[in-house]
Amino acid sequence: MSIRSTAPYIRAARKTQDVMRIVLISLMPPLAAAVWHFGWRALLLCAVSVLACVLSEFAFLKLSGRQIAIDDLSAAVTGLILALSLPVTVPVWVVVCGAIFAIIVAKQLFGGIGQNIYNPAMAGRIFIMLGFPSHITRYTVPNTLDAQSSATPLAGGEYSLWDLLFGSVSGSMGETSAVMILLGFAILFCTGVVRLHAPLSFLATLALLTFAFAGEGGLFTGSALYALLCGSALFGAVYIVTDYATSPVNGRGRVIFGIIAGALTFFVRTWGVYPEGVCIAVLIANFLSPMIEKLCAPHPYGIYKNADERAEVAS
Amino acid sequence: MHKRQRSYTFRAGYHLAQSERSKSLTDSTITRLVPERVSISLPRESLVCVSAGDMVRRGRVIALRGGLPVACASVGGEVTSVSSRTSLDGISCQTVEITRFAALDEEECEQISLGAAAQTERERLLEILRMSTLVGMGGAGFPTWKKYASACHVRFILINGCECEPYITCDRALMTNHADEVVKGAQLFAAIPNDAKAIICVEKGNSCIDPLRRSAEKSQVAVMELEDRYPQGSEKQLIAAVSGQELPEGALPVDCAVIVNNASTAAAFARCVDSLCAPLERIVTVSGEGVPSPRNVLAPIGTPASDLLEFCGITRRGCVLHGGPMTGRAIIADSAGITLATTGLTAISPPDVHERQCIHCGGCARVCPAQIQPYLIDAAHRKGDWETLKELKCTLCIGCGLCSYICPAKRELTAHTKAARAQVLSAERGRGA
Repeated sequence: MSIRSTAPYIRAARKTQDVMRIVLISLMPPLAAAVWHFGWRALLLCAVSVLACVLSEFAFLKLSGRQIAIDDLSAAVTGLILALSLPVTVPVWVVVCGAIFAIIVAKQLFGGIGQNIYNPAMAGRIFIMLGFPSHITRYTVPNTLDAQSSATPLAGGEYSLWDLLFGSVSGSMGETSAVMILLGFAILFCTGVVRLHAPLSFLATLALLTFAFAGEGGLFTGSALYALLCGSALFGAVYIVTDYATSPVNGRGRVIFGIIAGALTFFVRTWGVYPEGVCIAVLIANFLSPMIEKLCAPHPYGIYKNADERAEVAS
Repeated sequence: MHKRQRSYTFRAGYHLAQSERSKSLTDSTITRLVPERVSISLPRESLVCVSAGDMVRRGRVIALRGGLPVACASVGGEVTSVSSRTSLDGISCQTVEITRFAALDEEECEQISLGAAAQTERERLLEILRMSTLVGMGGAGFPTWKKYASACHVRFILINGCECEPYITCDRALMTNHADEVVKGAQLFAAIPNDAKAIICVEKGNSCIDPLRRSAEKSQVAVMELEDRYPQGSEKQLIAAVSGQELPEGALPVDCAVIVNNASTAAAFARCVDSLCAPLERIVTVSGEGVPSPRNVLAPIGTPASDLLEFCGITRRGCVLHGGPMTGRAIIADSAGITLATTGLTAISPPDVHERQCIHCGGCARVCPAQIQPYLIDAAHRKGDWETLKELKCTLCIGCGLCSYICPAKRELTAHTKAARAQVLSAERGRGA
């Protein structure tokens, strides 16, 4: 294509692959916490999930005759996020099914990277939740791998703040340790891969609504801190609502997107049938994302809303 | 309105990290180059008034357009050919080649012939501007006199010393070594409208700020420091940075009582008024990773690009750009000569980029100084969706190149946006006429 030889003749070094590599690196602290708390099976599930995602993407692109772009590492990111959002007791074949659904249905059928409407990892998780409900609701207490059933802290159960920060609680593999997730966020933020808008508005909305309406003793008695540290709120804020493809591109849009996702999470948690609301909330917010993006489009240079304002500038 | 009080800059844009390193390749030393022959590219529809075999002195008018001179002989010697050749911008145009004769070249420069006797100083300045062939030396090459033709009401003259393109340092070299000329040019420009103030705008940390301040001390000219941000040197962005207001769509600066001139143009005008000679030479930055000894070269207009490249040590020809790496064009014929609007020649190896699918990161929309959405325009242009392109205001693109620069998927956003802009504009023109 002749268009290749046009300006600019210098390009920023960062490629899609570099962005995805940074995301993978930022997922290492939660992964380490998962292995520490839930044992080597956590690593096995993550590896299987990543492999299943990459292979199904390869197969799909090959069969549909498109450019094989698995080296952009995006499928690996989806695989790792999907695995970390599942409990450690999930059978391997269930993870594989979720991964294939995530890549083929949620990502590639919509046009591949950047074109998908729904977050692939969350779609995969919902698929498992609906298809194999008995496998995903059995959470284990860390370091007791004998499939002793337990509820997540959200479904009741008391944990100390210390346990919530370092992850000695039951829950999905990657979501239990707040400190490790924040470490991951620090990596993403400092490298400029994610910005503050969506995570902050998401967490603030969730905390505020919980504080206001979810208390036992009436209005404004809820535990905001507990709401943030339990379940996958923090994990979702850092790795899910920041997904490029399924959230608006502009800052204002991302704030609104975060508010919607946060409010929906609160609704599902408080009044829904599932104890955990993040993945459902994010999928609904994903669905609204294109519209939010359009409404929040930036204001182009020199376009004034009305003639008066324009005249004022000209004078 | 988008007021900015904190620091002087514009919306969006980006601080190019490469900028610092690439600009340090050349310092403020200016080296003179005298070529054996010059080949002067003429503007479209100009009437050549010399023919092969003519002996010309420096300053002799060689082409007219609409009755006004548009080109002068930049060296003294013999006109060896008048023919149609490819210019540095890759366009075929009338070209006058002059072979230098040392004896003739040393003779005094022919003076600008002023037409009607000027009544006032203002009229005299305007007449000099009209007859001097001076055009904007920042790259666009717009005739300077046209900006001042109906400029009585203009309040601010912005002298653009913001050189935002990486590698290019010709204006910095000029402002450091000849600050007094830039200040004088600014004063002369400001004397044309009824009541105007000249402001020299320079990016923070530029080495020319001290000399400029010293020269401007006793004059009415102000020196303003702006943020170092690409594309600060773009006319629209400069106006937004200084005034805090954005030029309404479709308006010219003069409609808002502002005129923007490049610093080199101001210095050239000062020299024109001083000596009554047309501008015959300019400083060109020859730089880039592919140049053994990058430098700022003072060369006559029409000096072949090949002479400049050789002068700076290039023997093996790779990719050379006319202008900087962000907005420049690859040179097709390096025997073509530089023009008044040539800021630099940049030799770099073009990046090996493979387009991938857009990942919807929003980087392009964030940095775009026009605040249009390149990722959407790119998609609409590839689909040929003209209605959407118009809605997206693709005509506001200034072609700065930031969207392609920043894109992690390495998509050719700038190329597609510029193409969309050109097509929408020509369609509108077709309908309007």
